[in-house]
Amino acid sequence: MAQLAIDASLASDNVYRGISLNDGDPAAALNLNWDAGNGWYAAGMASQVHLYRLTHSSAQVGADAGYAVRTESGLGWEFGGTATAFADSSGYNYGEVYAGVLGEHWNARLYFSPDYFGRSERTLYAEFNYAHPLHDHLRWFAHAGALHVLSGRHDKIPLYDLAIGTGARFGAFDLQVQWVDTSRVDYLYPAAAADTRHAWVASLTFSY
Amino acid sequence: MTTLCARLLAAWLIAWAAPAFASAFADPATGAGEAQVLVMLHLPAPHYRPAANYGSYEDAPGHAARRRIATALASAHGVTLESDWPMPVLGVDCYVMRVPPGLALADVVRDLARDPRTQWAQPMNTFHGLDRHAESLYALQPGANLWHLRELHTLSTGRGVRIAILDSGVDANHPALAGRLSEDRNFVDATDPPAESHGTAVAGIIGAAAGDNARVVGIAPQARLLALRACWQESAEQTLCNSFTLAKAMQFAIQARADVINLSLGGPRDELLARLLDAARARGILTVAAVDPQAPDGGFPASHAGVLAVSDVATAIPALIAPGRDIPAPAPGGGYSFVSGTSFAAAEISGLVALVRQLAPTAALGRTAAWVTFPASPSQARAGMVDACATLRKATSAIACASVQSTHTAW
Repeated sequence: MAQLAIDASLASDNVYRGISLNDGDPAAALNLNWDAGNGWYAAGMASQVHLYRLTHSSAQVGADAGYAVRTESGLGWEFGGTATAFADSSGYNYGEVYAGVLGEHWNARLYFSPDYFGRSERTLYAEFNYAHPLHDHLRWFAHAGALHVLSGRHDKIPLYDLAIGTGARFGAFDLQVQWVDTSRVDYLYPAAAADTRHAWVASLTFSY
Repeated sequence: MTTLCARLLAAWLIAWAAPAFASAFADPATGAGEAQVLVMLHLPAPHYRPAANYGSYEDAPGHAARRRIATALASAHGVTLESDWPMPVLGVDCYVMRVPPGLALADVVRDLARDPRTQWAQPMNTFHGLDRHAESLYALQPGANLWHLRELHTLSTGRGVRIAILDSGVDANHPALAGRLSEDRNFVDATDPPAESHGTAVAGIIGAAAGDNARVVGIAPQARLLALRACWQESAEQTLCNSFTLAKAMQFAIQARADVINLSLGGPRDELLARLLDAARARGILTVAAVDPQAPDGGFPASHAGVLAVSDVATAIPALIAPGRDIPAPAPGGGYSFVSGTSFAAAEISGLVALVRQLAPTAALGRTAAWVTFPASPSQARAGMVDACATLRKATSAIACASVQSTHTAW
């Protein structure tokens, strides 16, 4: 039987792969998650972004769908695709496909986009995530990512991003604090604050 | 840092310092007369989730969705939601619901099982330790005498083999068990695991240290013991467990990559536990269980396919036989007592599995045919019992030990 979940969050910034998309300002977000019960899943999201050359925050919406399976050994794998669109800046719309493996506390994924952020760049993004449960409702987690531009005019040196943080869940609320860092400045992302290399990000999420 | 970030950080620090935020769940060990059911909801495989603020690697939205479904189910069927625990090994999220008096348990289980929102439902079952009172005293460890444990330990001590003991609480401070527990967890309630008699005896028989501080020697004194409290001491004579506490401990033991799971307990056939036993077997974990002498088929889980059943006397069902009478074993508080029952025969076999596995890690010991037993002569007393040395020799031909035929025997 299908399961539908909704969560709403408030974060000190909308940070995506190490890059602030909301010019360092707090951002609200809404996510819808749907699990079919047979391995297929889909989700929709909406958030705030403040993009380059715009004077105001606008909306980012996204959708994804995929298929995930858990094997007898405990390892899982999945594949899927995402589509992201920006109100007021549809030129930055882009899509990605991904494949991943998942363990009990970790996952690794590889993403490919034929036109990353509408910049006419083919990109590969690889990430590794780890979450470690601590006593009771606490956890710490770490993330490492690398964006590699395959073609196009842009800089071919990979852009690395790192995050490390801790979170606490109590009831339907989840509070999270993390430190985010990137290896270099990159103007591939159409962000108003593309020259910010690191930041603290805190967020509070309510799940229903 | 922005002001909002600082405020959220302050809220997080409060959450860290206030464990009172933990939601209060009812103790699964309920009072007499209150029936509980277990309802299993599908737990999707972990997968990608969008997050405007990435870093949320937990399944918080999924858990909230299932909690909503469970609350609606409880309301629709007139029961009360109490507790839940994910079982990713089975792909289900297990919810405990209390049935009020006035509703027939069987009807509630049937209706919940038929509800399309559930994977399956079952009653909460109670399990009990299979120990009985000692009728007389013996001064020696029967297993040590039968298997010449000290000689055997020059060849193997079970080093590195992980044995999960699902039982009542183990006395981790007992001189015979100090430093022997790799894990000491409580799946019955939220306290530190207490020292209880059944679990302490089973753990001591399996793996008590072979040192000056211990007055008994465990069968596998260097095996890694995972003490998982899934049972509780209801009275001086009774140890109880239930489907939920055992399932939580099994889920942990499987993911902790135990090599052996020891279940010195018996009860009714249980769907949740049966599936977990199968999942353990699929991952190469050997489960050893005590035969229930009161049950014609040996009881559950001993009679479940793939489980190694152990008794202390010859039985009609295929089972290994090991000493189960008047075994000196550690007792809570630092002393020793003599224990009897198939519980402790099973504990001895779990220890022997570790001895074999240290030398032959891939030995297939799940079938009784892999084990060698003593012949009918010269000693009638030990006929049919497991011959540890011969079994070791069968599993690894490099062994040089002799099943010594002694004319003096406590048997």
